[in-house]
Amino acid sequence: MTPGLLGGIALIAALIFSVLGLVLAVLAYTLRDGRYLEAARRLSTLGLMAALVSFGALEWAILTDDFSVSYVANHSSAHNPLWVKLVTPWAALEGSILLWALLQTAYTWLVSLRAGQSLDVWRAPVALGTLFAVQVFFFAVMVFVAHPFDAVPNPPPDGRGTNPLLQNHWMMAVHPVLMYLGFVGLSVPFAYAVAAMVAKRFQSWIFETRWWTLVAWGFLTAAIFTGKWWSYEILGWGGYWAWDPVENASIIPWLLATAFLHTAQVQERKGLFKGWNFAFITLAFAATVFGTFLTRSGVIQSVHAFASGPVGAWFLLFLLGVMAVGLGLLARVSAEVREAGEVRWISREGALLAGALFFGTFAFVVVLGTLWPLVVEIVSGAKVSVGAPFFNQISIPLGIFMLLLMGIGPVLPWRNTSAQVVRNLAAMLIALGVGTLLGFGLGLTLGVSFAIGLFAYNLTAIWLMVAQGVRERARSLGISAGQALVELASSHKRRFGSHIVHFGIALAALTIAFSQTYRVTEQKTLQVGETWQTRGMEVRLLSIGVREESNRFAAIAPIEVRSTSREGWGSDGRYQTRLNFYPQMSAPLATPVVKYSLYNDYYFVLMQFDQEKGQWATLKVIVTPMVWWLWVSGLIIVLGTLYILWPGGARVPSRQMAPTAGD
Amino acid sequence: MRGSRWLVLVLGLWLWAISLAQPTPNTPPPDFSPRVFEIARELRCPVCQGESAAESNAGIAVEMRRIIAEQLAQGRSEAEIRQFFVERYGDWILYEPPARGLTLWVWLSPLLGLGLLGYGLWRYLARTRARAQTAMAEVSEEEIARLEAELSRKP
Repeated sequence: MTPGLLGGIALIAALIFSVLGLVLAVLAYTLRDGRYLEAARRLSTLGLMAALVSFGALEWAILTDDFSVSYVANHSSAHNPLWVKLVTPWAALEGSILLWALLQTAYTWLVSLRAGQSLDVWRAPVALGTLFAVQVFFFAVMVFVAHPFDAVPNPPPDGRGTNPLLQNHWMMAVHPVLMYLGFVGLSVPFAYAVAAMVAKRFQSWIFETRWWTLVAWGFLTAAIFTGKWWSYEILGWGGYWAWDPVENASIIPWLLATAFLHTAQVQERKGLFKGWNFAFITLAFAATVFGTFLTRSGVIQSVHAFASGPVGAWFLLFLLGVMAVGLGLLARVSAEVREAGEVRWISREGALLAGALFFGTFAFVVVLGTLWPLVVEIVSGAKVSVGAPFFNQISIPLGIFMLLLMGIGPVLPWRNTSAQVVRNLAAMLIALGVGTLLGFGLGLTLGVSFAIGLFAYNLTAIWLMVAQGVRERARSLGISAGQALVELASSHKRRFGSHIVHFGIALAALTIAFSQTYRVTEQKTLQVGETWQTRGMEVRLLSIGVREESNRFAAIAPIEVRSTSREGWGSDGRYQTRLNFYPQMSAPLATPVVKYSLYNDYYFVLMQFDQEKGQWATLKVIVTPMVWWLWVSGLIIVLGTLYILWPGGARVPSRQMAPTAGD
Repeated sequence: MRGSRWLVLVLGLWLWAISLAQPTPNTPPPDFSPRVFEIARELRCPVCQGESAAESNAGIAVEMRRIIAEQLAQGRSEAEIRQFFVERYGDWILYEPPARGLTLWVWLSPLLGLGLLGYGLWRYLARTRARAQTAMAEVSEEEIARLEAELSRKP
């Protein structure tokens, strides 16, 4: 058996299992028979196994250079290093849909393990049915439209090679998988929401859905940060976020999932906001499909659209289907959900709702901004661009409000405001003022000074929350402060994890303000041996050489950098700036050399070189402050999420509902 | 060193072969000050997919940076340089859409979004509050009536 045949058969098997699973789930729901549910659960295991076999077959074909398989012939090469071959399945459209489908079957399988237990027998068939329906879509797209295992009649001796942008950095092995784990992960909350709406269990779904959403959110966050890292270290422009359509596609579900994670607490606590939570979850899942449609259909061009193809129309249909199911059910449900209750704005729930308002608005702005050039072209025929300068400016006021709310929210109590709370708020405002003035004192711009103030404000909020909880517990139980901290941190994982995540967000905002304001780019042509004095550095071009590597040519210009003043502190070293030439690309690909330091990042790019005599080279130098800390903040956010999700501690709903000492 | 020179030559030829579409002359590009990149970052690279003229290495983006540097050297202002490109390519070249006509809506989108969502939230909260109050009043009246009926029937 060839890998192509095995993969194709496994794909068809997976499609059949998915259809059968869907049918059985529907039967289980309509006939109210547990045996059908049990059969559907078993089919999710079979679906996962078939998808694994299919994915394994693709890896097998790539690793053995089987160019009779179209995907391998088009997107791989016998000369690729082993790690590139291993990650080639998600380097183009068909393979990434296969990865998506594989992860979908894995999530379906995980959900099936809970069916009949924490997921009650009324909701389980609907949730599983929804996930099977999603699976049917992906496997059908592969079988009928974008088949990864299409046979090539006359196999070429070598493939066309993998997209060089993806081969250039090991991060490409990690980033897409994380992104799909996040995107696909949002299908589970959607399935739970559909199940809750169909089975009319409007309250109980929220606890487990929150957990699933946080899983997906953690993966999405990790994916967004690794994407920024890749963009920074590969694309050679010194930035990490360009508000490109693909990037926007990843941030929209993230914003909506974040909104849900906050409003879900209001529902847990007060039973309010049910309809809004259904809507947020539906829109978050729809946004993942929307993003895929946008970037895979060729409707909108992007640097990151590695995998365009004929699937656009299908994804549009799927998107419409998801929206119709989610919002259709919601319309029916909202007539039945009659919530009653009062919300005061100056309280925790008020802050949570205001936060959701801003997350929702941000998502709305990103959707509108991304689509607007299309709308304008359709309406008036004119071409316009909506890009980074617009989004950056709009993010500033929205970001400021969100950072202010992030500090206030946890400090405000659910109910009555006490003198303690007023004192805390005063301390935070003082920190805001002092931080801003400190920035001014250092001669920073207004925006950056205010960012320092906001960072101090949020740090103070977290400090007050933790310190007051620890002090109270230490005093009442007569234990040491350290012990009280450990006990509180392990018994209130959600609360402490959210403090960690909020700290990471505050740090990220600070680094973004610094790096966006003070980034400097310069370009100069140097003769071999010449020294360039710039930004507190001495940059000397040592030589120019050429190297042939298995999958590419490289022009290498080693440089020596010495720091001459505080501005260039940490830049010292010898660096190999290089331009990579890939046979499948017409233009060379610059690979920047990045030297991180605790404050400034130094970024050296070889732009051009003397191709005849090797006497000169053109270098671009980019100096950006604090980007290293942005990666640190991403790590902190992910670790904080992991801390909340880690089994044990307060994950039992009944304990979440109980008033806690930390509150 | 001799060997690497030779390799450079071979590479040069090979490069020439693959880049026939956009031949790059073997002359060093001019030096660019930070301001050139600041201006170029706001301009779209016309042939690229979502890259600005500051980022792209495509021939036309390099040319745009060269033009910006030249015009800066001539003492032109940032606005004048931007206008220069708008005259040639239209508003499309600007990554920041002008705040007029159809693209004014993009600038208003945060207010629009806040307004719509805020209005929805306000209406929702008003309804739940009203329901909480009427529910309490209704239930108590009903309850009272039923209780009184029950009480009067008993003896």
